[in-house]
Amino acid sequence: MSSGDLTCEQVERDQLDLKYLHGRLSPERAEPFEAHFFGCDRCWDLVRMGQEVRATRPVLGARPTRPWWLAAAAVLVGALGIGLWRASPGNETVAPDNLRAGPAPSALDVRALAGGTGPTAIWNIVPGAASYRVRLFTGDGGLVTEREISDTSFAVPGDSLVTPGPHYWQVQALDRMGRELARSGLIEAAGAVPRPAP
Amino acid sequence: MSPLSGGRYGEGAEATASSEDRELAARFWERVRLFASRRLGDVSLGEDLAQETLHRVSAALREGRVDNLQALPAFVFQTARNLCLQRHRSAARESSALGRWRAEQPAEAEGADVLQALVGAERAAAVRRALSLLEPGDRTLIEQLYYEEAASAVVAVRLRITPEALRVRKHRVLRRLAVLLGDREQDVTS
Repeated sequence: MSSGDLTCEQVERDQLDLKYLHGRLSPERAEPFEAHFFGCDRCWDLVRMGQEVRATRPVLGARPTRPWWLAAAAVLVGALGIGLWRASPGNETVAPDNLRAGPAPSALDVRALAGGTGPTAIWNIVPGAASYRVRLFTGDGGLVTEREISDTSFAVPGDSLVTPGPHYWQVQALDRMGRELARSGLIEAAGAVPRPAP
Repeated sequence: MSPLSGGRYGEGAEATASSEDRELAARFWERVRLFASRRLGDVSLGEDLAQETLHRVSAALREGRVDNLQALPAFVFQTARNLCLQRHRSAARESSALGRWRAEQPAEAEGADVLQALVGAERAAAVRRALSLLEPGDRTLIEQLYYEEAASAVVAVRLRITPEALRVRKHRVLRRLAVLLGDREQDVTS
């Protein structure tokens, strides 16, 4: 375990001061950082000031609800996806009920295109949205990719989809605080890898 | 608690402490206190360990056991770390005997939360006042990074800036806070 081999550039790049203050560094990663700020006034100031700012958190009323909210939403999406899409292990994928009925009405209108490079999703601008979280799922609910972006389109390289069969897009519009403003239904991606012939 | 007060240094220690001890405390007390409190999950234990650490380092310096003053920070860190390990081993041995007593005590602040307990009410109030004087955009950045604990990459996307620009802006805001708190002089070039 190194002691003080870390550089300020590494601290900056990996935002170790924030992760340390939020309790997100494993002991193995925290210790080199601790050894570093014992000898580095600049990085120590980041820790000290950050600690003092966090100490004011309850009074300004912005409790960190997002982490648990985000985790809960991810669990719910994952559970819904896996529970609805897997009829039984090893069997052919069955489209979930909501897809057979068509996508639910939403302020977020997502269209799937077969772009030049691979499956592409585009959607409308949602008023008040600061970013969009876009996810691509496999037919059995596995998460292929997830990004939070400011654009209203997202494409994945066609050769990055290794699982044959349908894939599904889902997009959420988020405000500047990360709260959901709108969520699309599950939209089948165009241009996904075709299922091999039986 | 002052680093020079309490039984370790004896009565009236603050009046008789050498300038070297005062310099040592000025430079390392807060760092060791934070490190130890976080490791031990308790501010009182952390302060006690911080005093012990500085006492041992001071003794080592007087006895010439620290050859290279450039390595002093690493020496202080290793001393504090070793003391924490010793405390953990002692606590493990005591835990069965004190099990019932510990179960009846209020839950100790865990990990990162104990760090908030290190900041006194007066200082916290001063920081709140300083935060209220920030520009709204800067205050939003602070709230997202330090209150929401949002990942830096996510905050950068929300603010529509690059991660590098976010890091620069974070530093600028923290410098501004330090000026508002009187911790540093206004930088005429900023």
